[in-house]
Amino acid sequence: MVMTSIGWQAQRVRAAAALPEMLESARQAFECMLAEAETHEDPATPLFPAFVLAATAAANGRDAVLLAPSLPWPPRDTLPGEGQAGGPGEPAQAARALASLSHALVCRLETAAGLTARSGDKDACRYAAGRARAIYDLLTGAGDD
Amino acid sequence: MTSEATFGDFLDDARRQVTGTGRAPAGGEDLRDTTQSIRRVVVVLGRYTRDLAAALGTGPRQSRDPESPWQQAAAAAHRELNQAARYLTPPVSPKLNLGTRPSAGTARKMDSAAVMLQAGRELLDTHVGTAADGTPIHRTEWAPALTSHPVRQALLAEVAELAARVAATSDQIASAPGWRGAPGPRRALREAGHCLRIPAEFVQAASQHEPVPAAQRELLRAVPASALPPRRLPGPRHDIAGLREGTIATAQRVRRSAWRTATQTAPAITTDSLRHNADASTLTSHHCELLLRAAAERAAAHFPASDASQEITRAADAAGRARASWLAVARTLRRITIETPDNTPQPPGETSHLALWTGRLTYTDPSWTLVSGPAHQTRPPRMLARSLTDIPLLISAVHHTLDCLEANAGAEHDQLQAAARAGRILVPALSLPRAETCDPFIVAPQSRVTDLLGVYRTAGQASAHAATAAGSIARWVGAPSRVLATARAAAGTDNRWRSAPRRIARNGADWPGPLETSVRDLGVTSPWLLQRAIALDRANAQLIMDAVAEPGARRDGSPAQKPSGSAATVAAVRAADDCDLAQLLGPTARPEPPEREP
Repeated sequence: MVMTSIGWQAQRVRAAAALPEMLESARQAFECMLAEAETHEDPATPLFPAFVLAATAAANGRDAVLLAPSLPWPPRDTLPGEGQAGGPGEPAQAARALASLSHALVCRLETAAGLTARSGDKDACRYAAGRARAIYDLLTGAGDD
Repeated sequence: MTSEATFGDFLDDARRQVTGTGRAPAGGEDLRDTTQSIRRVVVVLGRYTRDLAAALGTGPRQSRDPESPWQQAAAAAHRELNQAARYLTPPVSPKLNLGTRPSAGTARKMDSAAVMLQAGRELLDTHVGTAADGTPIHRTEWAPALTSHPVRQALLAEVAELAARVAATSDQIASAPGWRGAPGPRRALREAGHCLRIPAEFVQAASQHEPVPAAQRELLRAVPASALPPRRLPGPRHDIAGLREGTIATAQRVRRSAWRTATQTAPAITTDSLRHNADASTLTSHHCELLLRAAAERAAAHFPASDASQEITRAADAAGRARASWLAVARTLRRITIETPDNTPQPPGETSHLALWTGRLTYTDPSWTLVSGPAHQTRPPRMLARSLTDIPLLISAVHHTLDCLEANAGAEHDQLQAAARAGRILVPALSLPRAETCDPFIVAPQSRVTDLLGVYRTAGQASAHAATAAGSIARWVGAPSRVLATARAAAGTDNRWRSAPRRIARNGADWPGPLETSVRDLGVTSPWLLQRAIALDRANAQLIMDAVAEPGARRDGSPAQKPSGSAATVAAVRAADDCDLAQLLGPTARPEPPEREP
């Protein structure tokens, strides 16, 4: 798998201006998180359960964004990382990077859900934000009460 | 197993009541009352044999072996118990009102036995009912095992043995002095006793021909009532025993849920439910692997010289393979979606609860949850199995768990087949090359559907292997869950993955032919191109059928086909279930188009 730069994805999410651009960056970010989490689904590591659940949460988030009416279609075929080689290698490092990206997604998607008037976009953003929050909680242990 | 009442409990109680009650009567006991109480037992036993005679007489084996010894035994038992009941029926008398007098001594014990036997019959009825035409109605996942011939034979053997005990008691009563009452009941008891001994003689003869394995009798006795334990979640104060019991109870609920899903006509699956289940099954089998490795370590400590530890380690390896195969399911599901009328997100189901219960057993953290995040420490093996007797109980919990995962795989595999036939399996359009559509999701190409069903098959097989391995250990160490393996064998579900079709049927009206499939595999959604592909597929099929039907059309050197074979071949082409038209035409290269992974 081509290692994508999680940090670059986070930058894109934070820098996205309008809703369509933000949705497109969120879609790619979820795709990127899915691929990265699957890379670390190794039962030998103690993070195995967290990565399994995070990967599925990323797929759920991607599917939600795909249904947003304001998502540009067809999406721009951006090369992941655009030349920025490599992503996090170690599971713990990957978990931190994914947590950071998911945190950025939560902020942007929740804000977008509050601002948009279209119910389809609102639902998509709200659900996708929930999936991003789940990823953050899984990888940081924040959901452990 | 949990501590719920089983069919064996009722049998044991009835056996205790009818055995050795033929003593001399205490003062005030009336022979007519006692005779009627015995009759009640006989009537209930007769109801069992009525069901058994119908079942064994109309079962699938009848056509092959219409006069099998077991069928003869069932028919004889039914006939003789009816005859015994007739002997014991009192003559009609306006002065007789036996129902209003309280029974005493022997009569009370017989009445109690009749109640226990009736309760046992009702327990079995909660799993298998009977339709008006006599066909069995399966109500729970126990039904396939209970309607199997070996288990029915085991039940007949139990009934015959009880009838013989009642006969012995009847004889003792008939010859004991001191009873009040007329000589009529003594004679009736002797004649009834003669009838009641005959079923056991037939069963003995049938057993010589085809013995009832002890495991089948054990399975019959272990059948619980159909009511499931209530849904519950582990609390921080649950000890190991409580966690084991909770795991088993949840596994029972998951197994029932899978059985219900498999027997529903309307598919209930959604993307959410499938993804939840796949993740939970991945983690659950991971926990099973860790628990089995802990059990192996404890077994090695307790039996350094035996093979127990190695066998358990092999079962742990099998659980590891189940985990890997469920992970493949989870990954595949992340790339498809199911079209459902209501796409409302669903909360995790009971499979997630099972992952939680097994996780609590596995990890030291008493508040561990699926979303607990990174790294948690596993329990030391000595905590999981402090003593020798804890090992079989731990094996039982794991065995129940792996068994229900296999049931889940089967139910979901079948529902996905139905969803595929209905064109309800979708993929993100972006994951296909040349997808030109405004829809974010399009109908999955056949290659994706085949992959999806394939990973489910693998997960089902791997879970079944792991459950079988755990079941073997359960038998070996005497774990209570060993009856699960017997039930699986009796029901014939232990080899379902060997017979499951590898592809879904292609003869449905909506199913694409090879050309349409190839076009769809390329991500083409243009109605014009798809219609052309469909038309060409139909023309292909027609050409094959015409060629087969054409007299003397064969051009190779193979022997000429029989005239009657043509129609059959055409039918085979039409029905081509697992057969590709491309295969019929000969080896063709239909390369899988490269798919762009999302």
